[in-house]
Amino acid sequence: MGKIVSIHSFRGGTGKSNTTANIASLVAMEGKRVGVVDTDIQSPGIHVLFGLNEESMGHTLNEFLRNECSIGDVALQIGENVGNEPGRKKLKDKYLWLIPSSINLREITDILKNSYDPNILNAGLQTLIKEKELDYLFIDTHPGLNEETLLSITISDILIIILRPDQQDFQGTAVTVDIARALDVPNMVLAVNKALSRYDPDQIREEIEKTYDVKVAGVMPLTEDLVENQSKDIFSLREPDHPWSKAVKEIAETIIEFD
Amino acid sequence: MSKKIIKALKHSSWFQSLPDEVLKDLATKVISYELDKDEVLIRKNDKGDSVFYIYDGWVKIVAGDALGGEVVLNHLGPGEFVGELSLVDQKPRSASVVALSSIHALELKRDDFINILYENPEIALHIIANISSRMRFTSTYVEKAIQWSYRIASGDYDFATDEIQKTNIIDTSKPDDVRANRFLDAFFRMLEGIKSREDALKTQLVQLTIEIDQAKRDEEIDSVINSEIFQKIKAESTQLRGNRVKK
Ligand SMILES: Nc1ncnc2c1ncn2[C@@H]1O[C@H](COP(=O)(O)OP(=O)(O)OP(=O)(O)O)[C@@H](O)[C@H]1O
Ligand SMILES: [Mg+2]
Repeated sequence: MGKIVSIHSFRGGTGKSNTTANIASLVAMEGKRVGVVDTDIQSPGIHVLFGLNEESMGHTLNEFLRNECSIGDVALQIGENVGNEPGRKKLKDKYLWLIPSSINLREITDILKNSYDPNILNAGLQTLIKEKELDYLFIDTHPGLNEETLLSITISDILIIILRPDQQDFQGTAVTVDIARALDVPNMVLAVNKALSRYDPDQIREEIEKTYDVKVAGVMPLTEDLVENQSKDIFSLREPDHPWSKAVKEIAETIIEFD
Repeated sequence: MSKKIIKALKHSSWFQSLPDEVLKDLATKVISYELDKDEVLIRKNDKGDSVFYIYDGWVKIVAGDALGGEVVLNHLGPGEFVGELSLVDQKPRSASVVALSSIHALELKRDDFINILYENPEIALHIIANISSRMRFTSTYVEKAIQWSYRIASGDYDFATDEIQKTNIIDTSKPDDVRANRFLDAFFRMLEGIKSREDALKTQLVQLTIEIDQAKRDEEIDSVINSEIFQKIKAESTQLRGNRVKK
C-alpha cells in the first residue's frame, strides 16, 4: 500500500516546498514510485523546483477539484521531463509524478471563493496512488492549521513537521504535534530547517526531541547556497555533498525506513 | 681605534677589573664588527667558538618557528655578552643574533679567552655570576610558566590580570627585569590569543533553549479541537482513511 507523507509547518516560509521536492526526489532516486501533490492552492510553489511555469504546466489540481479532468490527467511525469538543470537531470527515467496547483490568479481566487469538497481531493489522492502504483505520495501543504491541512494530517501515514529553530516555530509546532496526536497520525517526525551555524545540530536535535517527544529526522542548516539555487533545481541532487543535502538525505532515509 | 676598544672592554663586567696591560693585549686579539640594522652577527647552527661583546647598539636573539616565521627570544644592548655558553660547551649556535640598529660588537675567540682566563682566573667568577643570573632568571620563569600552564589548562584565566599588574612594577633599567617583562608579555599575549579563540568558539556554538507558553498552547489546541471543522474531520477520519486503497 502506498504511503501518504504530509509535510507541514505551523508558519510559512519554513522550507516545506524545498524540503518536500528534495525528499521526494531522493526517494524516487531509490527506485520508488513517488507522487508529489501541491495542496497549497493559495500560494503554490513546488512546481518551480521541478522546472514548471504557467505555460508548461498543463492540467492542474484546480481543474480536477472543479471536476473538469481526472487526477491522472494532472499528474506530470517528471522523470520524462527533466530539462537541463544538472540536479533534476538525474531523475531521468525515474518514477516521479507532480500534481501542480494552478498559479493563475483567477483560478486561485475562484477556488478560494467556491471552496472545494475535501473528499474529492482525498478520493483523487487515493486514485492517484492506485493508478500510478505509488509507493509514496508526498503532500506539500499551506502553512497553519486549516481544513485542508487537518485533512492531509488525518489521511497521512507519515507526518513531517518542519520548523525553524526559533521561539515562534517552537510554540506553533507544539500545537501541531498535539493536534496530529489527537488525529491519531501513525508516524510523525520533525525536521529542522534554517538552523544557524552558531548552534550545534546535535544539541538542537536533542533539545527538540526532549521537548516534543518526537524524533527529529534531520537538521538542515541555513545556507545561502540554497537561496542562490533560486528554487530552480533539486539542490540535493545538484550538490549531493552539501551539508543541507546530507540532512535532507537523512530525512529521506527515515521516511523509507518506516514500514 | 684600539683606545676605543680598551675603553669598551673597561666598561664590561667581565673585564673591568683587568690591569691595563692585559686589556691592551686583549684589545689586539678581539675582532671589531660594525654592523647595520638587520645584519646578522651570529647564525644559528654555526660553529660556536667565540663570545661577542656588544658595546654599542641593540641586537635581537631570534629562533625560527614551525612555520618558518621569526620568534624573538630576547633583546640585548650595550654592555652585554652574547654567545658566552659556547665558550664553555662549544656547541653550535642555538639561535641567530641580528642587529636591531647599527651596532658595534667585539668578538673574542675561545682560545684567546682561555689564555686570558689562565692568567686572570678571577674573570671566571664574573662569567659564572653572569651565567648563574641567567640560570636563576630562567628557572624562576620556567617554574612560573609551569604553574600558569596548569591554571590555563583548567580554564582559569583570571590570575593573568594579577600577574600583569605585577609586571608593571618591573624596573626597566635592570636587564633581567626587561627580560622578565618580555617573557611575561609574550606569555600573556599567548593567553589573550587562547582566550579570544575560546570566546569565539563559545559564541559560535550557542545553546538552543526552547520555551513554550503552556497556557497559550492549551488554549490554541482547545480552539482547534473544539472547532466544527476538526470535529467533522475527526468524525470522518476512519472513513477518510478507510478510503485508502490496497496496492
Ligand atoms: N536551509 C535554508 N537556508 C536558506 N534558505 C532557505 C533554506 N530553506 C529554504 N530557504 C528559502 O526560504 C524560502 C522559503 O522556502 P520554501 O518555499 O521551500 O518554504 P515554504 O515553507 O514552502 O514556504 P511557504 O510557506 O510560502 O509555502 C525560499 O526562498 C528558500 O530558498
Ligand atoms: Mg511552499
